[in-house]
Amino acid sequence: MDGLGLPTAPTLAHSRLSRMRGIITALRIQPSITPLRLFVRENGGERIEALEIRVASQIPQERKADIRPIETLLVVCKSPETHYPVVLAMRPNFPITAHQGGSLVGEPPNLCLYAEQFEEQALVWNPTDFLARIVSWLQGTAAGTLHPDDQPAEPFFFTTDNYIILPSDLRLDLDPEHHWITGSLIPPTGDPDPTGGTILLQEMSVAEVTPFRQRTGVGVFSVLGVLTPPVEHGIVHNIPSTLGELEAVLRPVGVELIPMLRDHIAKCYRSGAWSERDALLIVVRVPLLKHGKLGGISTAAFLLDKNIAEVGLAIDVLTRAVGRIAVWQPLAGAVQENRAQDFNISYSSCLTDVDATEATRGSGADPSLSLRTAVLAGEGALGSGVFENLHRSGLCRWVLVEKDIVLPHNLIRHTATRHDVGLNKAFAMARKHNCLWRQTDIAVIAKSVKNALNDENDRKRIESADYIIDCTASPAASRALVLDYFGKARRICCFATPNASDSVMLAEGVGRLPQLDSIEAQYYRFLGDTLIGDMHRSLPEGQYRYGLGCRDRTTILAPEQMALHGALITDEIKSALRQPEPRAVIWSRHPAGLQRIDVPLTEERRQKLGKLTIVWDSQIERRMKEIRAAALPNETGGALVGYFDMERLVVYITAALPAPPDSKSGPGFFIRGTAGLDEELKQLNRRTGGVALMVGDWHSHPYGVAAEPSFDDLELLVAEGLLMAHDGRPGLIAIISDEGVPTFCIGHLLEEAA
Amino acid sequence: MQVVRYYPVGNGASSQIILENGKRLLFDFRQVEDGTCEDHKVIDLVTTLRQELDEAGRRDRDFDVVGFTHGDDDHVAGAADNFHLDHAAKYQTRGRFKIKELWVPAAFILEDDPNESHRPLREEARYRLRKGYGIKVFSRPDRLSDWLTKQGINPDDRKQFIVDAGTVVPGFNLYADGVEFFVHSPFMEHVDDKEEVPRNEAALILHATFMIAGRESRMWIIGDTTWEVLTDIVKITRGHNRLERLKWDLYSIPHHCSHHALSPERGDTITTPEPEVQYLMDQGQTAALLVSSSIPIGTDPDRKLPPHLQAFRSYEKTADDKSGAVFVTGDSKDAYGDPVPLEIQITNTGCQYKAAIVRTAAAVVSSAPARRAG
Repeated sequence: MDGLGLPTAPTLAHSRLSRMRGIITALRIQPSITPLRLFVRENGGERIEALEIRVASQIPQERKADIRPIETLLVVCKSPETHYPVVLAMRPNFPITAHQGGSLVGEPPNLCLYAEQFEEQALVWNPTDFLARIVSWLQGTAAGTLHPDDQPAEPFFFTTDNYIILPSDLRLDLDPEHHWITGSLIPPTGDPDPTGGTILLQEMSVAEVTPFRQRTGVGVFSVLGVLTPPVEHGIVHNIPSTLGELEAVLRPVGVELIPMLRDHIAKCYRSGAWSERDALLIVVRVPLLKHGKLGGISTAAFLLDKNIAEVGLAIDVLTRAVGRIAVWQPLAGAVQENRAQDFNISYSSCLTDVDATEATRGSGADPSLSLRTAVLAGEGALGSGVFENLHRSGLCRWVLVEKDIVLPHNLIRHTATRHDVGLNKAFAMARKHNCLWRQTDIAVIAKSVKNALNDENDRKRIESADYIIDCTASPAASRALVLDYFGKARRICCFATPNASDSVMLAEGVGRLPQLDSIEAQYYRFLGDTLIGDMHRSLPEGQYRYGLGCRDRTTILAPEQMALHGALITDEIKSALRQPEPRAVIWSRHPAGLQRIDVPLTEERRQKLGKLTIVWDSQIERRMKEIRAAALPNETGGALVGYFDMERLVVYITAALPAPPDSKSGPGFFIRGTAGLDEELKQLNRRTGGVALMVGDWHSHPYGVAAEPSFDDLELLVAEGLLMAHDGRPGLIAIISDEGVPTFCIGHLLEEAA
Repeated sequence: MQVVRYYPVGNGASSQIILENGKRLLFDFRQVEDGTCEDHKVIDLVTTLRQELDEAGRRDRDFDVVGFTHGDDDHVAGAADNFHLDHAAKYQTRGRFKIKELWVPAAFILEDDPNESHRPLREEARYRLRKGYGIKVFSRPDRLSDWLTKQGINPDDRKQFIVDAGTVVPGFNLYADGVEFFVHSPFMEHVDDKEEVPRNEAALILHATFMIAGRESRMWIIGDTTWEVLTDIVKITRGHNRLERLKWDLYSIPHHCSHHALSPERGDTITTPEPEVQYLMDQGQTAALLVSSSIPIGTDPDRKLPPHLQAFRSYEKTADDKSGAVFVTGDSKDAYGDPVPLEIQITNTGCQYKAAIVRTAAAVVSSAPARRAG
């Protein structure tokens, strides 16, 4: 309490600071805490009020730290009241424990009561809670419950708000004759003459040091790395303020600092890369043991206020001869002295630079996914947002595929900036994100998905990935990624609906079953079966034209709406990657909020019939069997709904409709009617955004009759084939019998055969 | 958890041990009618005990044991007005506290000229001993045998009610009750060697051992005593090599923090304990607690009556050496400054002072800034 002035009675009459007055008032009803004396000091415009209190708290005899049932503390408030009141423990032998604030060596321990920033806590701060926190700190520290076992090990030194950023793979055993760890000061506002700042350290060869110094235009740091033997955590050391104090702190843990410093300075000198004006930074790394096992690493940095030459001269590793500095070569018997004990050092906490794996931890993603390879095709508004989210989450090594360049109107919703206009979108994204995490190398294929197929290298890069994420919003590209590229990569497709009210994510499971094109077909069936389809695929109300070409238009859409879909889809992708099952999810946005809809998926069926591939699923089979069972012993049937991929000759069946009411049937025949069929097909077409149409007919055979086409069936095929040939599509009929597996026949193939 | 409650009755004493099995032992009693002691507020002991017994569901308002360490007024005042005494109908009005078993030193029975507060209690003790129920008398001086003989009672017929120093009090054991009481004093000589029965020297001194979840905690129960008696106790106990009976985790400071329980000399700034008393102080375990049943210590170094500042500093030094603390019953107050019991809890981590932060209704729930992410 030196320098605090004479004490007065701890009453409101002597206090002017609002927080101290609150504390004094609150103490009137706290029988366990007794105010003893109030010290007041005015210093220029600053007023300090320090209240000595005696706190009786509930401390068990068996305790983890020597906190006493009665402790004398000093509560210090300062004007302006922009900080928490400081609480100092005044007992001379008060223990150094976890959760103490940064005190300099020799100062009383400072109880750290709040994890929150003062500005936030100030909104609700009240003196009773403050006093309760003091008691809680004492009791929790005594009982060892203030720092639960699942928390990280306590740092070796108290932390501060000054930071030095270390590379995540920092090596402290570098030989400075060949490699340096160095860096320069980054002022927070670019001020060329800053009072503080952050230092970002990096490893570089000796040859790189001088160019780096010239590039930065300011002095650089020469870093001495000190790795101590492992230390059991729990004792948080006060911050040394001189080199001598740092030496005294490190000696008990087995580190002799001055000999290391001499060796370092001599090697820096010999490296030829040094400058006398270089600053000297000592980085101390302490492996911390928790119950005998490595529980963390505490790193702190100390910057000397003398340059490297001044320190070297003061510890007799350098000498000045004829005006020049050289390494001192002591004669036999000469003693190297240390005149640097009182050199001031300033302390900074150290943070480790974040790499992709660390980013997965911070974002709650699966760290093992940081090493997987992923292709993201389509760097449009949605794709750039999804990629931004996934990459910031630390996920995957990336190959970006995109043919388009950034145009000015893209900046409304794209994550690119004006500097990127004219650049290929994938290239722009890679350029931005290669600067995000250390050692990031994003590959770019500046082509369309289909064109990349023609380059073997590009094709192999895509096919060797673990995941292929399609954000192209192009069914053609999507189909190509699924069917034209080989490989085991799980395919994921995501897109927003035309008016951007909804977004969709379709993801294959592990083993690629069902395949994404089958999942897409099942998604269309779901749209056709449910009311959601009525709004889901509706068209936007307006278009924004950015050029005179007929294609120079885009949807009028606010950036936050696309960002919202990007966020929702990213979340679904992350979730899908954690689980082996396939999934199809619709996020539907409406005035009342958001709705997540899971589309039910069933097993895919795929059959090659001549040149045609037919894709359907077990749900369609079940439906046909149900309708057949209800009609037995008569035959029945109806229209097959789906769509074609005419480029690859694939027909996707999404539904088997029941017989229209005017159909005629008996145990040996079925004639499909047409009543209501047109309306139903129109509805399905509307709900699927124009995708679903009639692709053929199906009918059942009675008990004991094979699913082979009868003479009537052949006649139907001819008719169907002729009819659909007008559209350039094959005529298709499916027959279902007792086996429950449909047999398909194709009309135009029959015609070809004929 | 076992609980020891010390009641702030000024420079007097009253404490209660509440065991986990519900048994209650009250040692000494002082009801101060005007509610003050040397201008310091003292507790309304009767009201407080009634509330405690009612809250505990003791409909008969009875104690399993009521012990009087000696008959001084500051240890028995008001007891006759508030306890149900079997020996006379006038002490049997409704609402009185009942005593299942009365513990008194032999001197308590043998004193010829007790004070007005002591007399009815002496008669009650004599009555119970004559009748042969609900009493334990500590030490077996010849004078007690003589008194029994005069009453026409063969002393051997009452020996089950007599407990000697150096033995454990029957009726409580570590396993059934989580506590046992060892008798340090009085010795026979305390009564037989003196012409008049000396109160303080012949007072009851017990050493309680609590056991919770395998952890033992030890407590000294001392009324008023002197450094000479403590010196004898230490010598005898060491002589019998019963060193564990000297250890303590909770020490009831004798005689309202009088220096006479440490040394004949008060000392200028701090009382230096006599060697054997110092030995006893050294038996305090790590983080042990001491409790002074007295008014607040104050700052007057020349005060004649206890508490003595120099003695308090000596106890503080003992506490400090052991990372413990000294509490004073006179300092135990509620949010309004009214005296409240000082509670020591005995748990599987030893003894701890019960403390709590008082919150106003508006601050019962502590507030935190609304958390947001961004």
